[in-house]
Amino acid sequence: MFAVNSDQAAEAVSNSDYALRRAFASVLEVENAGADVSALIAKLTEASRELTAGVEALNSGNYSASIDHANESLNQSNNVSADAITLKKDALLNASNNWWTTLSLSMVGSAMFLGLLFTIWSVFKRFYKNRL
Amino acid sequence: MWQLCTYKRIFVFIGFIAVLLIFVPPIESLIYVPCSESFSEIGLIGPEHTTSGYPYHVSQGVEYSIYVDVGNHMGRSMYYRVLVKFQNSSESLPGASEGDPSSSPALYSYDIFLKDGQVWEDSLTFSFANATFGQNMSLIDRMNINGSWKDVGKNTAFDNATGEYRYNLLVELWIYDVPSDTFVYHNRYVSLHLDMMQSM
Repeated sequence: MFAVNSDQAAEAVSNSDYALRRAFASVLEVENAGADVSALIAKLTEASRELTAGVEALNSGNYSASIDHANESLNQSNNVSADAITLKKDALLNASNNWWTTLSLSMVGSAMFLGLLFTIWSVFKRFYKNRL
Repeated sequence: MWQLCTYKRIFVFIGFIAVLLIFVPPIESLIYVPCSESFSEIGLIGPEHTTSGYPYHVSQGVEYSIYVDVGNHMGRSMYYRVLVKFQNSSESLPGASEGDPSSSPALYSYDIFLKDGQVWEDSLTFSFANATFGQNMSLIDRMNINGSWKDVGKNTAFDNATGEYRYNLLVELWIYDVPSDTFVYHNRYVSLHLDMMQSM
């Protein structure tokens, strides 16, 4: 057992708070990439609860418990950041694949429509000339 | 009957419009269209989950409970911080237009993560201790918020017009700003007027 003081507990809480903010920033990047971030938001909420418990323990002088809660929150925030990196890669890859698929379909659709239009035009032109 | 070149122009025009329409899906995914209206909401709900029955005449030693609601309609996920403050009648509320929060210290905070469209609600229980009265003044020394005791040390003068010792329970909404890595006041608050009674 190691005795802990208020400075150590405050530092642990501060580190955890910073990790939580960074984790949220990474979740926003994932969301901007088009991924569903519901699971990450739920994990952030859990990490936030741990941090709140850590702050309350710090304010009430229970420094050991404060460090435990802060460290748990820190781990959860780091896990969210790590998950966010993976999810962002997948989201960007999916978005890229979807875009290329959509573009390909548009090109094929355009070619088919223009082909059909040209055929109709050819028939129409022959019909028009025969009527003259 | 039109000239053949006129029909040709019509066919070219139809083909051009059709190709434009067919390419709308891939093009629109490259263009960012901002939300038309983005906002956050904060509110206080009474103890029975209705907009009535709010605590008003309060006494020390009695626990009161209300609910705090926050809604996210900002078009993206948000990290909110809800600060609970306690004021006497002479302290000013946050500036509604200037965007300045109350200068009173926060006694309690909720950290909330919400996706766009989500609403959060949690209970806010509070009670008072060490309230003293004398010479048309009241002093509240300690306040318990959600089980945590805080030193508040707020005094207020007796309001002859209303016959009350007026205090405010103030709830402010802050948001985390990623670029500056700080919480900024979101220019939204709700307050609950309280009249501290000398006895039940």
